[in-house]
Amino acid sequence: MMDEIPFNTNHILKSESGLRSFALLVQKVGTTTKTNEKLKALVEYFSKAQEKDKVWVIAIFSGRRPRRIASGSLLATWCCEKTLLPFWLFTESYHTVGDLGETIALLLPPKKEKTNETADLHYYLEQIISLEKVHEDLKKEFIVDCWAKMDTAERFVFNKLLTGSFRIGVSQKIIINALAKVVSADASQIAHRISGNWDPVTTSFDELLVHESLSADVSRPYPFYLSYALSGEPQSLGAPDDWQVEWKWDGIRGQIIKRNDELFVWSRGEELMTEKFPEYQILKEALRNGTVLDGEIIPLTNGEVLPFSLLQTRIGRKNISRKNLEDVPVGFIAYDLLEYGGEDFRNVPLFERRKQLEAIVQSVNHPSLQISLVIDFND
Amino acid sequence: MSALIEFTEKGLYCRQGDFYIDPWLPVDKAVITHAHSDHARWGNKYYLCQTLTKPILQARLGEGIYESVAYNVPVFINGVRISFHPSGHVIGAAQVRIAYNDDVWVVSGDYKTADDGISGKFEAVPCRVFITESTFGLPIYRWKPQVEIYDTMRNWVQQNIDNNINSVLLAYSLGKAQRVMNALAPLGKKFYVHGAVWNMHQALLEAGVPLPPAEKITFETSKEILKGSIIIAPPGAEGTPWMRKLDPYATGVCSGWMQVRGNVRRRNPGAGFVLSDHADWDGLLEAVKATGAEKVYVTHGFQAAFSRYLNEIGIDSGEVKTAFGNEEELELKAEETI
Repeated sequence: MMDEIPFNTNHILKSESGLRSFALLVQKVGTTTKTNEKLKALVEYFSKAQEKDKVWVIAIFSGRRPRRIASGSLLATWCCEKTLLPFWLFTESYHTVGDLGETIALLLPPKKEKTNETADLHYYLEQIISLEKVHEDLKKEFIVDCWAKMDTAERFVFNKLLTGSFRIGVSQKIIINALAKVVSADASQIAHRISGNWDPVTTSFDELLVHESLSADVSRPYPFYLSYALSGEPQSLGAPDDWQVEWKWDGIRGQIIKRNDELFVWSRGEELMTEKFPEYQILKEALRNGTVLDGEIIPLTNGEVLPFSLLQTRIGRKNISRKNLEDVPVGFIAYDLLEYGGEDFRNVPLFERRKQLEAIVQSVNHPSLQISLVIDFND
Repeated sequence: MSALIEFTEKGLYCRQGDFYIDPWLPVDKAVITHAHSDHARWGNKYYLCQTLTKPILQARLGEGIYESVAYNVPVFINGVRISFHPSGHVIGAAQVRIAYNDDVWVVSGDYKTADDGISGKFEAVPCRVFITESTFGLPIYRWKPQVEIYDTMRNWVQQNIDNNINSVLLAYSLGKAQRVMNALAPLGKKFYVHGAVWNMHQALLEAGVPLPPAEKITFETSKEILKGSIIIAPPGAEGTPWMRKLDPYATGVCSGWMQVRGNVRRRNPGAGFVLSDHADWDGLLEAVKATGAEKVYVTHGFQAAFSRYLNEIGIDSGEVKTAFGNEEELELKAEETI
């Protein structure tokens, strides 16, 4: 196994600004397909980078990026103004490069020698947030000025931040493993910590990953372990006795969280959907604090499952009418218990979790909370 | 004024002199700009080229009738004055100037305007009609200064040496391979080379071109001896069993196409070095303007875009389809064998 990190090709290493180190990180993870190299590059980055920048990088990689402040075509127009290139030539170039942010980065004239170093990554992100609602001219002024001070690799990532399209070939799993290594924690803990509601502007790296902070997000869900089709033969799973078999339901995978006398409902897309399902409010009373249920959000009437298409009529709506609630009542089929009594329950054996889950569902005793049936089977 | 050079199905043809320039089908008389295989093809009865191109042609094409002449020294064929001028592309590469009855045409062949220190410095040749290549004829292609690229390459090799990894540089055997050797010679490491690179190296040494010493990797070369070394191979060697012996190694690809991220990702090398033997966008424009040509024909590359742009900035231009691939594209497809 080769151990080296792909070398930055366009640039000579020198002491780096925050934006520059980020640009180099993106270059490294973006040009290799080797997981080990990506991991190494991330570990190196998280070991050295500026505190606030690290938080932003976690945010960006986990889909928490600022709103787009300028459209691609606006950026293209400004680029043509700066380079005095005709628009058709921009388009021609774009067809060859295949990426708008990169096209602009390559077309702009080289940065002037002796221009000041660029700033830290978080500076640009905070600026972008502050420019969200201002007039286009001010956005343009900021962006064009930034371009002039950046080199190609920096412009590329900057443009990516502006257009809000950051697909650079790193899975959340690799990020989590890198962070786990850097702060010497369990990957499952890291995954849990970076889920849910947190704001990269106000959260510090230590708060996010290290401290048992009081202000820790009480709504925070656990990572979703989604079902998938088996690629091998069923025999590859080992002894049938080691398994518990349940149906997979066609709803929305979700977690119901009761903490601090509050109830939260998360979908698998890491979207907080509490308000969409007033039916679950009964659980606010019925569940004990420090309980997290993993299950399926699904239309149910008298224990009967309704088609998934009906559920879509519920979640698509901004306001839910009384009629919606009557036509498509939504329930929850619980698969698992992830937290109980405020304790992370994920390392507790399945049969114990199941026992506790059954006890909870029984004590709640409400038609909107069902338990997923365990199916008997013969091999 | 009738055209001094016509675009025919065999290639660029000078009727008055009855010769072709870089023909792609066999002809009686071929004037050759440089020795890359898409410009110097097999099967012509007679070849005329620049002095340093001759030994390379002989090495590549075998026995034949080759006549050569130094840069800037005229040769006359049926009253047509032919002269070769440095194009800076690779060793021996030339632009061909054709003059007859006060009309002057220049065929650029392939060229680069930046001086690489071994291929001769590109010379702007005034003419009425200029036929230019356009391999990198889009404004996204702008090269960094050679010193910077060489520095990056040396750092990469040094990093590999520190990690006990061999450095394999994929570079076209004529042009890029010699530049890479020059770039890395200051590291004081021995060069081990693929047979194709070695053949070219030998031909150039015999022609008196000073180059760092290199050793051919043969069946007998031991894995031990390659440890921590610099290995130069043509792109065609990538992924072949020949590479097995080189393990553990990191691969560096030297090509202008490495400018675009997508190409680097598709190739997925350890490193992509944006090193080209072709002019970049600024170089092409500078060269075209320096000829003062009233008409510019744009061939192989982004001819449509470059030609349209020239027209828009007031230089009368047309695009011409030729059968020149460009060797950098061939590099990506990786074909070369000698």
